[in-house]
Amino acid sequence: MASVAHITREVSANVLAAETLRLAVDACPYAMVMTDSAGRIVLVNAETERLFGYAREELVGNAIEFLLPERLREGHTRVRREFTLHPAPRKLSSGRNLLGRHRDGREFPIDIGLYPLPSSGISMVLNVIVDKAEAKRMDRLKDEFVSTVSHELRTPLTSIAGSLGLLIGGAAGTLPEPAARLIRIAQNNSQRLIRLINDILDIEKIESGQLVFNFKRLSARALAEQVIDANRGYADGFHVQIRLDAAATAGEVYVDPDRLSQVITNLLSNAIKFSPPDGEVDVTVEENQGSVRIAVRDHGNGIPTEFRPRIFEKFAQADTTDARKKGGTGLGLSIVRQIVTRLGGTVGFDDAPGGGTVFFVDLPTWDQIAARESDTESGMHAGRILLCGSDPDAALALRENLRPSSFTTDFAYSAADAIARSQNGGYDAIIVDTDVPDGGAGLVRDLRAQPATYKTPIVALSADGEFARHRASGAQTSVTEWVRKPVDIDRLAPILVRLIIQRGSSRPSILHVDDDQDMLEIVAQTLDTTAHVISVDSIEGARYALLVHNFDLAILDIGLGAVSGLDLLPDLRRRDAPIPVIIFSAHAANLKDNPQIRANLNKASTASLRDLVSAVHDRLMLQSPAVQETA
Amino acid sequence: MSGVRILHVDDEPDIREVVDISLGLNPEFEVRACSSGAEAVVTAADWSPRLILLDVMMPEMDGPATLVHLREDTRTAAIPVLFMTARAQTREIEHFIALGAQGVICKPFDPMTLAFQVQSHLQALDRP
Repeated sequence: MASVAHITREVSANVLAAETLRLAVDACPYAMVMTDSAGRIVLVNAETERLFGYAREELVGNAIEFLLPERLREGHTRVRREFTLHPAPRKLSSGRNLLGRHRDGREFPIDIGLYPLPSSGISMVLNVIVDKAEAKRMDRLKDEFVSTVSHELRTPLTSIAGSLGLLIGGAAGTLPEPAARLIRIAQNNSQRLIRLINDILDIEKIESGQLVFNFKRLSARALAEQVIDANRGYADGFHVQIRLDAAATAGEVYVDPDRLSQVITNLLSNAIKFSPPDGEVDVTVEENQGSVRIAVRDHGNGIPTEFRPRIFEKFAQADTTDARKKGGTGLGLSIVRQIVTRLGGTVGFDDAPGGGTVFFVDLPTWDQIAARESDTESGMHAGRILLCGSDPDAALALRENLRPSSFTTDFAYSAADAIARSQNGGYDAIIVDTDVPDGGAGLVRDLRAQPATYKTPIVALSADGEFARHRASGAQTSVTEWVRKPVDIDRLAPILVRLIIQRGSSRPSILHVDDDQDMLEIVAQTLDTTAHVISVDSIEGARYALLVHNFDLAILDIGLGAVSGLDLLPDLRRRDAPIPVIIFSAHAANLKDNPQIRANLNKASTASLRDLVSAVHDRLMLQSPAVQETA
Repeated sequence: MSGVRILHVDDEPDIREVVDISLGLNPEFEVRACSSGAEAVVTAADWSPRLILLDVMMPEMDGPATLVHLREDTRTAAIPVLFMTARAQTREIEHFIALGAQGVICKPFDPMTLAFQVQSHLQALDRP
């Protein structure tokens, strides 16, 4: 009996534990989906049901791709298989551009974190899914809160510090000494509060990744000189001299000037505060083996041994009375380390020979950064991209901007380099800046001529004014997508995702041949939502495009300078499946008898564009064979 | 003889008072204060100040919006504007300048040197 009671107790305990766990999983504000090694859904929580609009019975047993739009499923299956082969936790917020599909057909941006559960014997994966729109709303609320708090705290402080400053400055007459002393205490503390608020806001911005870094190539020495000048007044208050080593090198680095100034300012202000009166603070800038070291040395008492391990922690201060004495916030070095890390460098400190402490920041030199053509970042990849362009600054910026979408980006600074790098394949997409030396157009042709990149998606970047010309130029028809410069990353990243994940996408391709540049541009824009339009302005361009692309439809102008667009008809027929044609021309032509021609539109008519759109829709969507004719 | 007219715009009465006293340290300055962007647009057109000190964060019409209104009105289009804002980064300052401001004074400002800062901006503007 005892054992039965024992077992009963144990079973109820287990049931209770299982129930508790189920409740916890259901209460989780993220959608949680457990999948088996084949990617089939084993378990979902309540949030999954809410987010996607399905009951759990409808989901269990289906592949996880069931929750994605149909066109993304195949691509995702590939990604998932790769993940199964090399399972490693993939955190949320890796910035991939994924879409979920609600039961009602609505698509919405999602983020998925993948967590393999190895201990379960069979390999299960926990998929954590977040509605990005919801996450963005939360982020915005937090931003608003932080900015409101900072404004609400700073506004009264501005009045307080201002009033106290005026009193001390004698704007209200000379104060009796005891009153002046009290006002000075109040003023020092109001200044301290201001610094504290600024530091807390900085930390908060850095940690939440909101602090945008604007990287520029600059001389570390020149920047150090500016910062030293700006801090002389502060140093004078402590009777401390700041000296820049005469032998300091220029030290070309690639950093955000505002942020590196903040780092040097924090190091200087520490050095000044901990210097004995009439002391000296020495700043040096040295370059050594691809690294620039900015060092700030004081002649203070040094850092107590027991404090050293905690020195970069938040609110760390060697002596808590320091805060009062020195007016620090205990956040300075923590900010320094976080910023330096974001700048790609390291920060450290050491006893200075002859007493005092030296803090140093090591940053990679500009040359070092520019030479980093191969992206060494590892982890899960949405794709490896080759970027060919002449401007290392722009290349670096683009690499950093594509990183959140899990792309790794290699650089080639010339067409020859691009060919050399890509000839063994390995790139999921190639971005060609039309400014690349030895010719963007030639490069695209050469890439199409080598087997490894014959079919690789190519995205061409073109300056705004040049856009239409480049897009229409016959030689570059083998470009998969055109993107205007300056590059809008929110446009480029989804294009890359689409090209890579949905290679062989179902989006129809249309060849448009017309010698009128404006017309090419108008038609391309008009049909942009329906199809991918390749615009060419010559017969030669069209023939080249036909070599490298598969088209679902062709739109032909008849009068192309001295030749007729109809000359292309044999090229369009010489295929397993002839490409249907819509004639879009100001020239009249009697073509009713040609079965290949699906519509014959007069582009001089006012309704021409509307007619073209409907003809294209008919052809692509409804497969209507009707021949339309407008006079 | 009338002084150099400075119009100060801030929704916070205490800050208006502190700025009034700070600018008063320069006896040449004649200071008027407005508590909103809308009020500033009207006052600036009537009073024709030599320079406007404009708070960035204000309810309803904020600093940048006020600047746009000032620039649209021919009577105020040419009046130099200095923004007053907390901890502006280079990028934000560039943005303000692009909007048509002449400069930025950071908050909290030093009340003993504010008049001097404004004076320096005026001198810089007078130079060809």
